[in-house]
Amino acid sequence: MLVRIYPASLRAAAQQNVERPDCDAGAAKRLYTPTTAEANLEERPVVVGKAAPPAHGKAEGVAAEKQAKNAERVPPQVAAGEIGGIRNLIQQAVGRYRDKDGTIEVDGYKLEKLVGRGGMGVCIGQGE
Amino acid sequence: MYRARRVTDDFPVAVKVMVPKVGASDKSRHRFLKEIDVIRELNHPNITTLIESGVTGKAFYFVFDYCNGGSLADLVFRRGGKLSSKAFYPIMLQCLAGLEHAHQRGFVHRDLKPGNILLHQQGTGWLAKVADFGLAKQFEQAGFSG
Repeated sequence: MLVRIYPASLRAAAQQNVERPDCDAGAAKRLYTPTTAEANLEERPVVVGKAAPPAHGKAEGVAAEKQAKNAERVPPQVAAGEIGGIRNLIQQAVGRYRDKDGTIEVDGYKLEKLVGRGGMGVCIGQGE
Repeated sequence: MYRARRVTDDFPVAVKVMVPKVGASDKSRHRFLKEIDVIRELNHPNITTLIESGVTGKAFYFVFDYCNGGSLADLVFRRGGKLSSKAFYPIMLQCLAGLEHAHQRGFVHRDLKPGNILLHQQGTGWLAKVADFGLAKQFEQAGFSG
């Protein structure tokens, strides 16, 4: 299982807010200030899994179906301003939490700090 | 917060009653109600649905869908203070899906905690819903208590 949470959609969300008078544009701006690293990150395609190879046997067919499902899965993208809350939530629920060199480990799952200032992305994953 | 049933169809709901603090200005109340209207637009299976809101006497009330499994905080407590990652991650991933939906619409929760994650028994697993989306800070800013 791998879920990447990138700040890729945040700029769009912020812009959407600015354009919508009924929303708090200030909050949207506070929510996301892109950094160069984030801008680069946004250019990266967010894909989980790879396209399924042609299947020949039954086992391959099942594996291919699984891979195709993974490839279709769109990872959640959450606001940078919420990353702290998400971390706290994990810490409070699971109770094991380690933060070293920008990588947080929770019981075998890693939360990678992808970007430091302004906005952050995290990666909750196991294996891959 | 009350557990209730809708009179017309016996549908189970949760009703939250908020009482304005003394000194809450008309402006802050107006802004608060406007925010409620926007929050009502958040429609996602992993976010508690605001079914209805209104005023009764001096109190505001909010009707949400009822979650029969209590909160994530309750579950953590029942499991002795922590969950295994196997139990927690399906819940977390659902929360992230709900958060993504809201964030794409420009809302941040700002008060994520196990008490604000509600659970509904669904087969052998849990349907997780992020509750009080945006409400906590709005309540505070508008001078409400509940």
